[in-house]
Amino acid sequence: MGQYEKLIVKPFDWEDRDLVFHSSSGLDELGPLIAFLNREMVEGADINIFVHRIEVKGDEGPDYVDVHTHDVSQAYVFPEEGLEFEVILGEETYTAKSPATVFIPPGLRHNLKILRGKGIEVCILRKGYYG
Amino acid sequence: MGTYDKYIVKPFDWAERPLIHHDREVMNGLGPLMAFLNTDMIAEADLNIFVHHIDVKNPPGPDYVEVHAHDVSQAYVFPLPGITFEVTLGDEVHVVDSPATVFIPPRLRHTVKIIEGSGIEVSIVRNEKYEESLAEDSAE
Repeated sequence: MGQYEKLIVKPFDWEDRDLVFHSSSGLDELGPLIAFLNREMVEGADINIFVHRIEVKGDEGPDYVDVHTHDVSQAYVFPEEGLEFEVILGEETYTAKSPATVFIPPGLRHNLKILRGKGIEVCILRKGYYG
Repeated sequence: MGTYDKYIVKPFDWAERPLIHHDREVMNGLGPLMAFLNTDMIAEADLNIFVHHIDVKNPPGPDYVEVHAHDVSQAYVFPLPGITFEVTLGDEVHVVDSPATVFIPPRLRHTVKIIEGSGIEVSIVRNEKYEESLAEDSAE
Protein backbone atom coordinates (compact mmCIF):
# COMPACT_ATOMS: atom_id res chain seq x y z
CA MET A 1 0.00 0.00 0.00
CA GLY A 2 1.14 3.52 -0.71
CA GLN A 3 -0.30 6.93 -1.32
CA TYR A 4 -0.37 6.42 -5.09
CA GLU A 5 -1.98 3.00 -5.22
CA LYS A 6 -5.33 4.79 -5.66
CA LEU A 7 -4.12 5.87 -9.12
CA ILE A 8 -4.10 2.25 -10.34
CA VAL A 9 -7.60 0.97 -11.02
CA LYS A 10 -9.25 -2.14 -12.35
CA PRO A 11 -11.95 -1.72 -14.99
CA PHE A 12 -15.55 -2.75 -14.39
CA ASP A 13 -18.55 -3.59 -16.55
CA TRP A 14 -20.83 -0.54 -16.89
CA GLU A 15 -23.77 -2.99 -17.16
CA ASP A 16 -27.16 -1.30 -16.79
CA ARG A 17 -25.91 2.07 -15.61
CA ASP A 18 -27.18 5.02 -17.59
CA LEU A 19 -25.03 6.63 -20.26
CA VAL A 20 -26.52 9.86 -21.57
CA PHE A 21 -27.38 9.84 -25.31
CA HIS A 22 -26.83 6.06 -25.46
CA SER A 23 -29.17 3.07 -25.56
CA SER A 24 -27.90 0.47 -23.12
CA SER A 25 -29.65 -2.33 -25.01
CA GLY A 26 -27.88 -1.36 -28.23
CA LEU A 27 -24.53 -1.11 -26.45
CA ASP A 28 -25.03 -4.46 -24.77
CA GLU A 29 -26.05 -6.12 -28.03
CA LEU A 30 -22.58 -5.33 -29.35
CA GLY A 31 -20.77 -6.42 -26.20
CA PRO A 32 -19.80 -5.20 -22.73
CA LEU A 33 -18.95 -1.54 -22.14
CA ILE A 34 -16.12 -1.41 -19.62
CA ALA A 35 -15.30 1.68 -17.53
CA PHE A 36 -11.52 2.20 -17.40
CA LEU A 37 -11.28 5.70 -15.94
CA ASN A 38 -13.50 8.41 -14.53
CA ARG A 39 -13.44 10.76 -11.57
CA GLU A 40 -15.34 8.29 -9.41
CA MET A 41 -12.67 5.64 -9.98
CA VAL A 42 -9.82 8.09 -9.41
CA GLU A 43 -10.47 11.33 -7.58
CA GLY A 44 -9.25 14.23 -9.68
CA ALA A 45 -9.15 12.30 -12.97
CA ASP A 46 -9.74 14.69 -15.85
CA ILE A 47 -10.05 12.00 -18.51
CA ASN A 48 -13.01 9.63 -18.98
CA ILE A 49 -12.22 6.32 -20.67
CA PHE A 50 -14.49 3.50 -21.74
CA VAL A 51 -13.49 0.38 -23.63
CA HIS A 52 -16.25 -1.26 -25.66
CA ARG A 53 -15.66 -4.90 -26.52
CA ILE A 54 -17.54 -5.33 -29.76
CA GLU A 55 -18.79 -8.20 -31.85
CA VAL A 56 -21.40 -7.54 -34.52
CA LYS A 57 -23.45 -10.69 -34.82
CA GLY A 58 -26.00 -9.64 -37.49
CA ASP A 59 -25.59 -8.04 -40.89
CA GLU A 60 -25.07 -4.60 -39.34
CA GLY A 61 -24.72 -3.27 -35.82
CA PRO A 62 -27.63 -1.47 -34.14
CA ASP A 63 -28.16 2.25 -33.78
CA TYR A 64 -27.38 2.94 -30.12
CA VAL A 65 -26.41 6.56 -29.74
CA ASP A 66 -28.19 9.82 -30.61
CA VAL A 67 -26.37 12.56 -32.45
CA HIS A 68 -24.95 14.72 -29.66
CA THR A 69 -22.14 17.07 -28.67
CA HIS A 70 -19.73 17.55 -25.76
CA ASP A 71 -18.17 20.71 -24.37
CA VAL A 72 -14.71 19.11 -24.51
CA SER A 73 -12.90 17.13 -27.16
CA GLN A 74 -13.25 13.38 -27.58
CA ALA A 75 -11.47 10.61 -29.44
CA TYR A 76 -12.66 7.22 -30.63
CA VAL A 77 -9.66 4.92 -30.93
CA PHE A 78 -9.95 1.60 -32.73
CA PRO A 79 -6.52 0.15 -31.98
CA GLU A 80 -6.60 -3.04 -34.02
CA GLU A 81 -7.90 -4.32 -37.33
CA GLY A 82 -11.28 -6.00 -37.62
CA LEU A 83 -14.00 -3.36 -37.28
CA GLU A 84 -15.88 -1.26 -39.81
CA PHE A 85 -17.80 1.73 -38.48
CA GLU A 86 -19.85 4.70 -39.58
CA VAL A 87 -19.33 8.06 -37.97
CA ILE A 88 -21.40 11.23 -38.32
CA LEU A 89 -19.47 14.49 -37.96
CA GLY A 90 -21.64 17.58 -38.31
CA GLU A 91 -23.87 16.83 -41.31
CA GLU A 92 -21.37 14.44 -42.88
CA THR A 93 -21.36 10.65 -42.70
CA TYR A 94 -18.17 8.63 -43.14
CA THR A 95 -17.41 4.94 -43.18
CA ALA A 96 -13.99 3.77 -42.03
CA LYS A 97 -12.14 0.62 -41.04
CA SER A 98 -9.98 0.00 -38.02
CA PRO A 99 -7.28 0.68 -37.03
CA ALA A 100 -8.25 4.34 -36.94
CA THR A 101 -8.82 7.35 -34.73
CA VAL A 102 -11.72 9.79 -34.88
CA PHE A 103 -11.07 13.12 -33.16
CA ILE A 104 -14.14 15.17 -32.24
CA PRO A 105 -13.52 18.83 -31.34
CA PRO A 106 -15.70 20.46 -28.66
CA GLY A 107 -19.17 21.33 -29.92
CA LEU A 108 -19.10 19.17 -33.07
CA ARG A 109 -22.23 17.03 -33.51
CA HIS A 110 -21.34 13.38 -33.82
CA ASN A 111 -22.59 9.85 -33.70
CA LEU A 112 -21.12 6.39 -34.10
CA LYS A 113 -22.42 3.11 -35.44
CA ILE A 114 -20.51 -0.15 -35.68
CA LEU A 115 -21.27 -1.76 -39.02
CA ARG A 116 -19.47 -5.07 -38.81
CA GLY A 117 -16.60 -6.99 -37.33
CA LYS A 118 -15.06 -7.69 -33.97
CA GLY A 119 -12.61 -5.82 -31.77
CA ILE A 120 -12.35 -3.01 -29.25
CA GLU A 121 -13.14 0.69 -29.27
CA VAL A 122 -11.49 3.02 -26.75
CA CYS A 123 -13.60 6.11 -26.11
CA ILE A 124 -11.71 9.01 -24.52
CA LEU A 125 -13.39 12.19 -23.30
CA ARG A 126 -11.25 15.08 -22.11
CA LYS A 127 -12.92 15.47 -18.72
CA GLY A 128 -13.53 13.30 -15.70
CA TYR A 129 -17.04 12.14 -16.52
CA TYR A 130 -19.14 11.29 -19.53
CA GLY A 131 -21.63 13.96 -20.48
CA MET B 1 -14.38 14.61 -49.11
CA GLY B 2 -15.97 17.02 -46.70
CA THR B 3 -15.17 19.52 -44.00
CA TYR B 4 -14.55 16.93 -41.33
CA ASP B 5 -12.82 14.02 -43.00
CA LYS B 6 -9.59 15.48 -41.58
CA TYR B 7 -10.77 14.24 -38.18
CA ILE B 8 -10.57 10.58 -39.21
CA VAL B 9 -6.97 9.40 -39.30
CA LYS B 10 -5.07 6.19 -39.78
CA PRO B 11 -2.35 5.29 -37.29
CA PHE B 12 1.26 4.91 -38.36
CA ASP B 13 4.33 3.21 -36.98
CA TRP B 14 6.44 5.69 -35.01
CA ALA B 15 9.35 3.53 -36.23
CA GLU B 16 12.73 5.16 -35.64
CA ARG B 17 11.38 8.55 -34.55
CA PRO B 18 12.64 9.71 -31.16
CA LEU B 19 10.46 9.97 -28.07
CA ILE B 20 12.04 11.99 -25.31
CA HIS B 21 13.14 9.94 -22.25
CA HIS B 22 12.36 6.69 -24.13
CA ASP B 23 14.87 4.26 -25.63
CA ARG B 24 13.18 3.69 -28.95
CA GLU B 25 15.32 0.75 -30.01
CA VAL B 26 14.53 -1.16 -26.83
CA MET B 27 10.88 -0.10 -27.08
CA ASN B 28 10.65 -1.39 -30.64
CA GLY B 29 12.06 -4.69 -29.40
CA LEU B 30 8.82 -5.15 -27.47
CA GLY B 31 6.75 -4.37 -30.57
CA PRO B 32 5.72 -1.44 -32.76
CA LEU B 33 4.68 1.88 -31.23
CA MET B 34 1.79 3.29 -33.26
CA ALA B 35 0.85 6.97 -33.33
CA PHE B 36 -2.94 7.28 -33.16
CA LEU B 37 -3.37 10.98 -32.47
CA ASN B 38 -1.22 14.08 -32.26
CA THR B 39 -1.17 17.62 -33.62
CA ASP B 40 0.77 16.60 -36.69
CA MET B 41 -2.07 14.24 -37.59
CA ILE B 42 -4.87 16.67 -36.62
CA ALA B 43 -3.91 20.28 -35.94
CA GLU B 44 -6.57 20.89 -33.27
CA ALA B 45 -5.93 17.68 -31.32
CA ASP B 46 -5.54 18.29 -27.59
CA LEU B 47 -4.94 14.63 -26.83
CA ASN B 48 -1.81 12.67 -27.69
CA ILE B 49 -2.42 8.95 -28.15
CA PHE B 50 0.00 6.10 -28.80
CA VAL B 51 -0.77 2.39 -28.94
CA HIS B 52 2.12 0.07 -28.16
CA HIS B 53 1.78 -3.49 -29.44
CA ILE B 54 3.70 -5.56 -26.93
CA ASP B 55 5.10 -9.06 -26.90
CA VAL B 56 7.68 -9.84 -24.23
CA LYS B 57 9.77 -12.66 -25.64
CA ASN B 58 12.25 -12.94 -22.76
CA PRO B 59 10.64 -11.94 -19.47
CA PRO B 60 11.11 -9.77 -17.61
CA GLY B 61 10.93 -7.08 -20.27
CA PRO B 62 13.65 -4.43 -20.51
CA ASP B 63 13.80 -0.92 -19.07
CA TYR B 64 13.06 1.58 -21.82
CA VAL B 65 11.85 4.81 -20.23
CA GLU B 66 13.45 7.07 -17.63
CA VAL B 67 11.50 8.38 -14.69
CA HIS B 68 9.92 11.63 -15.88
CA ALA B 69 6.88 13.86 -15.40
CA HIS B 70 4.46 15.89 -17.49
CA ASP B 71 2.75 19.16 -16.68
CA VAL B 72 -0.57 17.63 -17.75
CA SER B 73 -2.28 14.38 -16.80
CA GLN B 74 -1.72 11.06 -18.53
CA ALA B 75 -3.31 7.62 -18.50
CA TYR B 76 -1.89 4.22 -19.34
CA VAL B 77 -4.69 1.91 -20.40
CA PHE B 78 -4.13 -1.83 -20.72
CA PRO B 79 -7.50 -2.79 -22.19
CA LEU B 80 -7.18 -6.57 -22.31
CA PRO B 81 -5.87 -9.36 -20.08
CA GLY B 82 -2.44 -10.81 -20.76
CA ILE B 83 0.17 -8.28 -19.60
CA THR B 84 1.95 -7.83 -16.28
CA PHE B 85 3.60 -4.45 -15.86
CA GLU B 86 5.51 -2.51 -13.25
CA VAL B 87 4.73 1.16 -12.78
CA THR B 88 6.69 3.64 -10.70
CA LEU B 89 4.66 6.50 -9.21
CA GLY B 90 6.71 8.92 -7.14
CA ASP B 91 8.89 6.65 -5.03
CA GLU B 92 6.46 3.73 -5.12
CA VAL B 93 6.72 0.70 -7.39
CA HIS B 94 3.60 -1.32 -8.14
CA VAL B 95 3.22 -4.53 -10.15
CA VAL B 96 -0.14 -4.89 -11.88
CA ASP B 97 -1.91 -7.39 -14.14
CA SER B 98 -3.97 -6.12 -17.07
CA PRO B 99 -6.70 -5.12 -17.68
CA ALA B 100 -5.99 -1.94 -15.73
CA THR B 101 -5.64 1.82 -15.92
CA VAL B 102 -2.96 4.00 -14.37
CA PHE B 103 -3.87 7.67 -14.01
CA ILE B 104 -0.89 9.99 -13.62
CA PRO B 105 -1.69 13.48 -12.30
CA PRO B 106 0.33 16.44 -13.58
CA ARG B 107 3.94 16.53 -12.35
CA LEU B 108 3.92 13.10 -10.70
CA ARG B 109 7.18 11.34 -11.58
CA HIS B 110 6.53 8.02 -13.26
CA THR B 111 7.83 5.25 -15.46
CA VAL B 112 6.52 1.94 -16.75
CA LYS B 113 8.10 -1.40 -17.53
CA ILE B 114 6.43 -4.43 -19.08
CA ILE B 115 7.28 -7.55 -17.08
CA GLU B 116 5.67 -10.25 -19.20
CA GLY B 117 2.90 -11.13 -21.60
CA SER B 118 1.49 -9.79 -24.81
CA GLY B 119 -1.20 -7.29 -25.74
CA ILE B 120 -1.58 -3.56 -26.17
CA GLU B 121 -0.98 -0.46 -24.08
CA VAL B 122 -2.79 2.77 -24.89
CA SER B 123 -1.01 5.91 -23.65
CA ILE B 124 -3.09 9.07 -23.49
CA VAL B 125 -1.57 12.46 -22.66
CA ARG B 126 -4.03 15.27 -22.12
CA ASN B 127 -2.18 17.74 -24.23
CA GLU B 128 -1.24 18.60 -27.78
CA LYS B 129 2.22 17.26 -28.39
CA TYR B 130 3.93 14.69 -26.17
CA GLU B 131 7.15 16.68 -25.97
CA GLU B 132 5.32 19.91 -25.12
CA SER B 133 3.70 18.19 -22.15
CA LEU B 134 6.98 17.36 -20.44
CA ALA B 135 7.57 19.19 -17.21
CA GLU B 136 10.84 21.05 -16.92
CA ASP B 137 13.64 19.13 -15.22
CA SER B 138 11.39 16.10 -15.13
CA ALA B 139 14.01 13.43 -15.70
CA GLU B 140 16.04 11.86 -12.97
